[in-house]
Amino acid sequence: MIAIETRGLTRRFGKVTAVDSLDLQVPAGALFGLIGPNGAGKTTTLRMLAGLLEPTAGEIVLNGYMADAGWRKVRRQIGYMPDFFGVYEDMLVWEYLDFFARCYDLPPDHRRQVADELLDLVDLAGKRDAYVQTLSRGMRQRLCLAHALVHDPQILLLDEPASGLDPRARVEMRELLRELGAMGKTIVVSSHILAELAELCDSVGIIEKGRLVASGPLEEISRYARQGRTLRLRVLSDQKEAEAALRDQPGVGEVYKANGFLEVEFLGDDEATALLLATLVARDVQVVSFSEVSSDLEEIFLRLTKGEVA
Amino acid sequence: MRFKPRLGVNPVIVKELRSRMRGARAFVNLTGALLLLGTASYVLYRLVLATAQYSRSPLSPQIGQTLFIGLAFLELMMVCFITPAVTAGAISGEWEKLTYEMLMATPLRPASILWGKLVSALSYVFLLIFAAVPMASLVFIFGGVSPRDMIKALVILVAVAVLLGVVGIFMSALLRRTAVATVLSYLAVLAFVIGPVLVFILVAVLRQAEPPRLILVPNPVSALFSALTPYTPGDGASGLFMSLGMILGGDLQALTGSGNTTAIPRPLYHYSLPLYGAVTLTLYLLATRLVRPTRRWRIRWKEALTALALYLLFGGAVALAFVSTTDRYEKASVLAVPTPAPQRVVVERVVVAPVEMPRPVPVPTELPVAASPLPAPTPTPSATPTLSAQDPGPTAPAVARTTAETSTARVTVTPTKVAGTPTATPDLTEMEVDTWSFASPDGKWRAHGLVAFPVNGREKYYTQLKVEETDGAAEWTAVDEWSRLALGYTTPQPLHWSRDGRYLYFTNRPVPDGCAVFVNGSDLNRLDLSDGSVAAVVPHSGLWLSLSPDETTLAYIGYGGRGLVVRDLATGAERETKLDPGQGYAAGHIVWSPDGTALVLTLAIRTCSTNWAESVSVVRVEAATLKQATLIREDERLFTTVEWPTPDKVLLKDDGERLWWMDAGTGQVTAHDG
Repeated sequence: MIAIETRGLTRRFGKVTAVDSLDLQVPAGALFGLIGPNGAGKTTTLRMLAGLLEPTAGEIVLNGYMADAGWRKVRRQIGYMPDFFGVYEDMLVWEYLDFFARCYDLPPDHRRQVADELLDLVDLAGKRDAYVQTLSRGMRQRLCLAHALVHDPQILLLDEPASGLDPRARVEMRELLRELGAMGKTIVVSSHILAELAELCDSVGIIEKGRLVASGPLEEISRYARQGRTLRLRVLSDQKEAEAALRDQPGVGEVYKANGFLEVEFLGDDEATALLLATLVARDVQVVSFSEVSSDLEEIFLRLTKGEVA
Repeated sequence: MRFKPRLGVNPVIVKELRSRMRGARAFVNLTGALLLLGTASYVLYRLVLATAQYSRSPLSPQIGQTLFIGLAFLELMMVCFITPAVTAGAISGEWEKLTYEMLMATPLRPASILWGKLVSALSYVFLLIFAAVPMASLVFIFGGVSPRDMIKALVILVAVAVLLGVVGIFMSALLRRTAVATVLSYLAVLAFVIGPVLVFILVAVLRQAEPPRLILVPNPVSALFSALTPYTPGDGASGLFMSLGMILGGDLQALTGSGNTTAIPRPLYHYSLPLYGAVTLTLYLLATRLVRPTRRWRIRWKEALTALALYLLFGGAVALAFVSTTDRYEKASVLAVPTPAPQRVVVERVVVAPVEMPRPVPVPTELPVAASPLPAPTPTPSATPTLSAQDPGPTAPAVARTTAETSTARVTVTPTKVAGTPTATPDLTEMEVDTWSFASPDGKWRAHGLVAFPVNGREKYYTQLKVEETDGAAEWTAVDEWSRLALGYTTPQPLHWSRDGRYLYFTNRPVPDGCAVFVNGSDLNRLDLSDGSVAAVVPHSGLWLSLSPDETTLAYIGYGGRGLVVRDLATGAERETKLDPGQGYAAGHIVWSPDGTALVLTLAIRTCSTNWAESVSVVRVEAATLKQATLIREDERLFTTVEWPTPDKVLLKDDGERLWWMDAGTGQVTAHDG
């Protein structure tokens, strides 16, 4: 089942097209990463999904509902955490959650319970009666996540939830999202920091200049990107000879030296890779190690968006 | 998803009140505001006590009214200052704190956010207003203020607070920057408070005429004062507020234009409140669009119909209120430019009267010179009444008994009102009534004067002058009118019965605010005893008037420091001479010589000091040349001129009511032997 679907979603700000004919499909229960550099249109897309911004063209279907005139109904199924958010001053942590619980019409007896549960979930139970403005950045981020959860939404739209967090807080946030994913929620996380998304997400969409460059499960994307791969080898003999030998071979692109290793960009499948090694050995290059560099998401991303990054 | 009806309180109200009322700040502010009001009340109280102790009117209601008006004014200022501050950041603050999107992502309607913000911000302003009510209720101890006044003031304060609140929140939603919204909101407040006054002055200067009251309608201060201007004239501190109220409350109209209308115009606030309501409703509806994140101006049919219904409901309520109160007020619209009745140049009455009255203190009516109709001097053979020959004739259309007499209108006489026509004679049983009556010298006629104040009203008063033949053959109503209360009020009183028994000259004698030593009238009107028609002979010109024995010449002390003015009633030609012996004098008690060739008058020097004057001079003026001779100079026995019965002797009265003779040529004073 598809939780989020966009068809030809477009948003222009004057002459600038922030999002350009985006066709996105997020299956229910997926932890979907929306990846792209700053200004690629991630936030614009999420804001349109959250009903905060009107699409110039195209349509959005959330859990089977057209998000148009009736988006108020859909809204109850969405929890949204903006990338930049403020907190109200003169407000206690529990009041903050209570306020949003009231906004979602939670009955009074339920509100307190939900607030306490959420504070437990985001590990802020000890800060229940603290003023919001006294919380650290990471705590605020978690509180903001908690606010998006008060109405137990099926879809969570989180815009850069880890931005500005220290490494430990990032890990905490990642754990939290995993936990939420395990609850069966459909989660869309945007980020320009790819490493953590690579570990976290089971499917990703790569967005660049408002266009969806690639989208699908992580392995598929990797496979798609892996038509080009990076090989790393160490040779006993003269590196220059080895380099020269490599450059003669078909499919070999750039060759770099790094930490005594040679890194080779190579376009070809596994057979071609085996053939390359055989050729090198045949040409008396003393190969000590020969391996493929496992390409992480960041690399895939760079490869896919190559030349398109402004 | 199924629709869940909203239960409970608007979450925004809960949230805003939680943070706004948290901690000491709100209560410190409230305490500060109350302390300010309390201090101001005390200062006002002392001021009224200090300045009004010699006043003629009872002191307690004066204190009550002054305190009440002062408090209401201060509260209004407070509302004007505080409301924009608490509302201008309401929506823009959410934008600036980046919390707006989070709110918008919830099912909370944008209109609920707006409503919640408005209610919570205004509830703080209302707290300030209503917290002062118990303190303001202290004025009930002094009296002079009815609970109805208190409610009127509260309604206006609340309406202004709501208006300014909506202005602030509209700016906030429109501009999304608190700083800009605050500045523009305060500019809007200024436009409401000062704008109309500036326009009013500008129009007055450009047109050289009284501008329409309509201009002042948007001004909250005008609205407040128009609802509260009391009917008891006060002195000093109360006088200050009253004058302020007159000017801002649009009572200039009452002072100048409608002095002789038979009904009162609607108070300004009757127009201000609907205006505020309409502006509030419009800005609020616009703001509900402005707070929407998407589809801002895509208005659905249902929404348009709701807005239309709101406007119709509002318009209907206003129309109903106007219709239900229409009998209480004149039909004349506020839109009409008050054109002073052509026969009366009354503007001077406004401007000059307070100027003419020197510094406060004594009490006109307690003076020995208190106005009473002059005893008709014994007719002299030379006195030939000429007025009747130049009588313009019955100019009023609906005269009961019209005389056939007509002649050329050489006298500057135009009719004012028609005796005997039905007017708004009130039910006097519910009013405070003051009456007096005078007999004509020949005993054939009696004049009955009356002034009546509504017990609870403070806007208008009723005056009446009836003249009846002693044998009951005829009764004329010379004055029968409602007037707006201004700086004091006037009472119609006989001034002179004509020698031929045909006319009664009467005047509207001011009972002014403040200290005025010599007052016996202001204008000159003439009642024709044969047909009851009334003609205005001289408009409001001075505070002491005296007709020459032959009734051809009027001598009066002119407004604006003109001194003694001698007016030929036939031609309207005036001659005048200054009477200035220095600072702080007043002139009056003009007494004509039996042959009408000269007159003496009393000059009070440094009036209203400890006594009504420090000393008195008696001046003789020749009617033909206006040559002055001071017969008595700065005498501390405080003589006043009473009568000039024989060519060489003038009757004087001193401060202790004893009578003296004065030689009309030398000014030598001898004791009266009677």
